[in-house]
Amino acid sequence: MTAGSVAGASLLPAPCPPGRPGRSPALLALGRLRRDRFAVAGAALVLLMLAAALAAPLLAPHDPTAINPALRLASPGSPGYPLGGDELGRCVLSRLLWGARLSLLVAFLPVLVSLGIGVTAGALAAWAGGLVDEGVMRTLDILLAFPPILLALGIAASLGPGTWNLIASLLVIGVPVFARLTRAAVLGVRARLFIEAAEALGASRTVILGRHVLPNVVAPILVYFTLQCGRTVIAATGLSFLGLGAPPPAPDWGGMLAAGQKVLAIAPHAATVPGLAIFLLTVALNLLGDGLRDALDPTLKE
Amino acid sequence: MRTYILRRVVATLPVLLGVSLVVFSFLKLVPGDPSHALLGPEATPAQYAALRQALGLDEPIHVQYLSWLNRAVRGDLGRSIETREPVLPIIWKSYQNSLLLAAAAFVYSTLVGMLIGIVSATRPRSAFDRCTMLVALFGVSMPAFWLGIMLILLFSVQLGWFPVGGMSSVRGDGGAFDVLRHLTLPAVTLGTLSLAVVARMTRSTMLEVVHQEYVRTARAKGLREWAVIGRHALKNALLPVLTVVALQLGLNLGGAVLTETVFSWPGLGRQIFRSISTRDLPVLQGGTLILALSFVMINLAVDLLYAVIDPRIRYRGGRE
Repeated sequence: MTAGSVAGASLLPAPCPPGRPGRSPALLALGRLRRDRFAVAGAALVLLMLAAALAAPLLAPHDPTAINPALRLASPGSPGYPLGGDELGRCVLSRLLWGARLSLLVAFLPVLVSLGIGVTAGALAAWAGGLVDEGVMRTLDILLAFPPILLALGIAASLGPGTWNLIASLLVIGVPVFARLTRAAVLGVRARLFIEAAEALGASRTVILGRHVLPNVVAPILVYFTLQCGRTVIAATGLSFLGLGAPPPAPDWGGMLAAGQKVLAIAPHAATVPGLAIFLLTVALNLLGDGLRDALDPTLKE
Repeated sequence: MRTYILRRVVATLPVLLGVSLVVFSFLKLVPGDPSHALLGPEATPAQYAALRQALGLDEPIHVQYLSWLNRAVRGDLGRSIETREPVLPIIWKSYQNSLLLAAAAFVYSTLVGMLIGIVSATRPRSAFDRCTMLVALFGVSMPAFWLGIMLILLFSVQLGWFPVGGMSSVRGDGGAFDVLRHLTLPAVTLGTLSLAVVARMTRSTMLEVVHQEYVRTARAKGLREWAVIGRHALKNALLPVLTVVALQLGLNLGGAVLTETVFSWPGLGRQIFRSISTRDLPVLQGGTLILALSFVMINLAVDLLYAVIDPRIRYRGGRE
């Protein structure tokens, strides 16, 4: 509340934020997003995890690979080891924090790169049409003919374990999603009247695509980006659970979970803690994605 | 109708060819000499040379692909590096176990998912409905492998109700009850994602339907609530739900690698998992190929079935 509005409060009509002129659609969407408690909680959790990952060297009480035999399978709450020790006596909290770096990298980077490839391919297919369109769409059909994760698994297994191989293999999950989405959105926008107007004004195809078409497909892409990150967290940690992630001494959530399952009966926390982290990150991304969808496209809301 | 089926089947052929090309190219992704990947590290130089010769690994790549495809079509998917047995029989044995698991997960997720969705839709915004939506959110956010481990922790380690895993043979020496005991937790684990998807879909379609005029008419006629929902509303909500449900079967079959690994279920997914650690490329290729083929075939069957149930589909498809 500003001083002016307090002074004239009784005389002025109540401010009505959504319809006020001079606000960009992006600001309106942000306002709607901020009123969505679940979306805000999701965003906060994602940011918190990012911050924890970045600050891992400061926050982690121990070296994530340092072995302390006395703390083998120590339960949570042991002095100096708030989340206990793992099967070799390493600090679970430190491994969780350092593991967040690898797991977040493996969750976000492939989605970001596949967004770039997918949007380019989809826009190109929709804009060029004809043989290009046909070629792109048939290639996507082949990628989509594999059950989710299976193709990434086959590629990662062929390339051999390792963080970068894992990231590369995960591209095949995201590219078809973004390419199809962009193609459909571009085709939808292109049929609209304002594109015809731009054409009539003599704008070149590149200008129309870059200035008029793509800004209109940003909203759905942003929503899918968030939701796709959630799916990729599960896929990436799943593949590293199968042994395709970073090689053993390095901390990563999927690997921690796999090691934890072997000692489940004696030290249940070793599997519970990293799994909970994966679960919370995915829930947070899904909440944020759902919130973004509602905020960016109010017509979709039930 | 016949032309529609024919058209759909023919359209599947290039996809199958593409799938085989992708699976073949796994060999090219392996760093180093493919003959080492196929024979493992312990063969003699003469064996490597013989394999290169036999597979034509020195030929141009398209010749290699065609001869690989030619063998694959005739059921020769090579030999396992680990056991030296032909790949196809190994895969076939475990594939049946995977089918059983996928079918069990399918039945569980469909029945429970639809039931939850229907009850939620009849009481929108009730406590039950809110719970359902929360469970649906958790269901899509829960990594199946972690859910499986937590179920083992609760029901096997703590309560001792179910075995930890280690199903040896489905044709079981322990009888049907033993199979069921081993099947329950993996099926629940595998089915939870589908359950969430089915429950959400059922709820939203039912919500659309129950507000329509004919449902109000049915109520006005004095029909009992279960008759209104079950006989009138459900019938019209069923079609979109059915597609989603049917697609889950293929997804379950393909998504089984993680669940089967967690529970050491003797299925194709676990076979693929083993092939990762033993670097058993022929088994990896064969397993991936069979799962992808099943996925394509199930989805094709769903499409065709859908066209049989809903004539609008085949008209739209036929006009193209």
